[in-house]
Amino acid sequence: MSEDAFAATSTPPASASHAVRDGGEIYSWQPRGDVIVSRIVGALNIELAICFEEYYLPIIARTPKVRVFVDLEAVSVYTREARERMTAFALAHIAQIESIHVLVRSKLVALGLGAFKHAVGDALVRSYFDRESFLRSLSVATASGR
Amino acid sequence: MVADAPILEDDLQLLHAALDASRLLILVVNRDGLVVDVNGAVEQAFGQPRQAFLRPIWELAAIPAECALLEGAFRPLRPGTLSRGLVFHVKAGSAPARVVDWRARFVEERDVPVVILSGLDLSERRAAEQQLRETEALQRQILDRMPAVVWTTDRDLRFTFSAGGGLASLGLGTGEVAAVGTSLYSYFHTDDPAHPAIAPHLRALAGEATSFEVTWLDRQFQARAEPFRDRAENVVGTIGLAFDVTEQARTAHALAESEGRLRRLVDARDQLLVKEQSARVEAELANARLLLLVEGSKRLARTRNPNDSLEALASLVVPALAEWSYVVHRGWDGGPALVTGAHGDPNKESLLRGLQSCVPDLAAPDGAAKVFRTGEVALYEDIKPDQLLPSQARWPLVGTQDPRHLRTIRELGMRSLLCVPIMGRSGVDAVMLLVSASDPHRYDAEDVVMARHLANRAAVSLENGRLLFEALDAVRARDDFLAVAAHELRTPLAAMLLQVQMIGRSIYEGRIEPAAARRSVSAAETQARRLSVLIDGMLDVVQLASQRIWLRLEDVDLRELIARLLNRLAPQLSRAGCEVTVAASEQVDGRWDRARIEQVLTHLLTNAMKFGAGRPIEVSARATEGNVVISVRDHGFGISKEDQARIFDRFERAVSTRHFGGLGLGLYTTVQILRAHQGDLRVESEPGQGACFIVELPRRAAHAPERADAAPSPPS
Repeated sequence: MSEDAFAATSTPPASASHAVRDGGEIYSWQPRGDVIVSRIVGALNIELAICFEEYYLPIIARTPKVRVFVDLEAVSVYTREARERMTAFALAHIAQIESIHVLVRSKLVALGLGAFKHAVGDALVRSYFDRESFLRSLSVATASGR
Repeated sequence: MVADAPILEDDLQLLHAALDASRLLILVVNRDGLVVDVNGAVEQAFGQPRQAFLRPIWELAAIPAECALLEGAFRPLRPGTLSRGLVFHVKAGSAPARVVDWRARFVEERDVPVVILSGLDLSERRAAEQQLRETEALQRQILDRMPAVVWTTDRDLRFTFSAGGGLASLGLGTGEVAAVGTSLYSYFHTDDPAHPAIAPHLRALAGEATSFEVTWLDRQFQARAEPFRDRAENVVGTIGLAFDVTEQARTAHALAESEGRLRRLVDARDQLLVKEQSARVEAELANARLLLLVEGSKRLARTRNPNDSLEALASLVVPALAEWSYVVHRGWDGGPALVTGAHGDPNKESLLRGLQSCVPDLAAPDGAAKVFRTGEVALYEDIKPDQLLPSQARWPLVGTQDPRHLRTIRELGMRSLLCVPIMGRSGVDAVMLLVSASDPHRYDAEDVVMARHLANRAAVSLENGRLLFEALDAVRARDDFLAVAAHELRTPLAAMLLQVQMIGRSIYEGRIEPAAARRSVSAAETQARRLSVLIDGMLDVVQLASQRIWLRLEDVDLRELIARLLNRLAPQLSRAGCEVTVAASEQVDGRWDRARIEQVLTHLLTNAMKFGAGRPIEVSARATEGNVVISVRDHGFGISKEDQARIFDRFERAVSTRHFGGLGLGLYTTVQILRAHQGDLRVESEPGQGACFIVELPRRAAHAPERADAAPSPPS
């Protein structure tokens, strides 16, 4: 994979949905019909979780199976409410989610992701601590489909 | 002008010529008060021609009071009516009035006496003086309004001047800062040249300007002392300037206090926010950990076998506690073997699979090997790549020298490694290895506690799996035993039944032959005894498993016991075709339960006959220090290593029940009896090479031994 390709997938495009809420911000975009990417920065709170849902709901409603890529590398802290909300959201739409790929760095977030993974299912959730590997998976998903 | 006096005319011309050159204003006034002549200076001063002044002098006065005064003095003019000096304002034509200081001189020597007024124009000076006064007043106003005090001192630091609005704040008026002549030393009640108010003035006397702060009558001043120089630049004293900064300081102090209070409030609020956020984070950490433990317990509880348990464990900790993990089990049949691993990153799973054959060497000093030895958690931080390279000089951290495995581990990444023991009943069953590929200091004390909790749950799961396995195995052995027992019991029973039926048929047919009847009864009795022996054996096992064996200890001569036993078993040995040789020390005796030891030897000899394939049997008995060692060796088909591990268990047997009878209880019973004597039994055998059962007995068994183990482990 070339550096350009990495850059293209790691940077939110100008058309990305962007919201700032209470110490955190979220970018969401759709590089492909069945691939959704979110990048969250700062504190992952309930307001951001709601923004996340608002972006995902209409896509999930019209797409049989989606692959979700969430970049939490720049998230240093999250709230229990946000984790529970996102877990409930994933469980409510689990039939339409093919896979969830999450990039993490903070051990706190990793622990939360662990709890999320066990609630949603091991097979569905993939965790990355390596941005290059995360982007490789995203690139494959974007370029070649399944 | 006086026309009738030619001499005077000449004189006046001379006078004119002389006085025109003068800068003084000169008026010549006759005795009637009429100005008869003026000099050029007058014309120049007023910008008026000479004729403008030739009139009664009082008409030249600009102020009515002065006009009246002049008229009174000059009409009539007499000596004594006019003072020598007078000042009045002169006005001529449209020119502005000017103040002139006149000096009057009577010239009476002449026939026509005149008064010559010579005047000095004071207008410019007066104006300058007025301007100076106004400037001084302005400066005074400025000084009086400034929150400052200005002072001067002489070289002895005695006050020579003081002014400034700052005095008012001290409750003093101008010049009252200190009486002129008062010394700065006495004013500040000090003789210390280093006093903060004195030292700057001393420096000023030395030519150096100095700023300083001083508290003066409870007021705070920002002051400066500079040298006061005369025109020749000699320092003749000091000039001081002080600004009253009391209010400013109070305001600044109050402001600082307010800012301080505000800052403290903000800090307190921030601290509260931080504490609240920190508490929320901590609560969520605890919550997530609890969820992980609960989920872990549930998953591990659902597993049915040890491999599943370890797979579940490896998966559980990713990514919550590790980027990737693997579990090394000590192996079900010997050395350690890597069982399973997990990676959250799908792009690296294939790499991890390459580690499935990565078996750490138990001799390695670190990693899983260390945990297997110590049973303690091992944490490795800030791991460098050179710790994961094959090296002759030292072991790589992970306990393998295999370059392929080490390369795989380096590719997967390992910056922190936490090795956690999974304890079994007899030590460390397995080691869980948690790895962070990115964080050199990933694990803290809470992570270790968490990992230990999970490992403990895995240990319980492993133990449950093992118990389940053992229970299933025991059920299988019991079922096998029941089948064997049924068969074993049925054989003599069937034979006995046959004999009884034969006797019954003879009675029914009324043709009983005594000899035949005796043979049938004897045969039935033999079968009954065989049944009895089988049932006794079963009862013995039940007793050994559930009760303490009480030994009746007595002195036993082992040589005599063996000889008597061989004599008793001679018919069976003969039928089996086994020749027995005995090698015994002269004195082989001890204090044991005679009947039980005889039971042990009987069983070992019977076994040797059964499996000895009609070949010789060698019995040896020798005494060592404190012990007696008895061996019974046959030359039959031997026992495999695998079977050797289980033949001492209940209901176990190394051979098919089809070819060899028996309940499979003999060796179990033998071991229990020997352990009750603090002795033991082991076997040495190779397939096809026969078997040698070796008994070790202390010569003096304790009288009240421990209860026989209900679930004995194989002898080592």
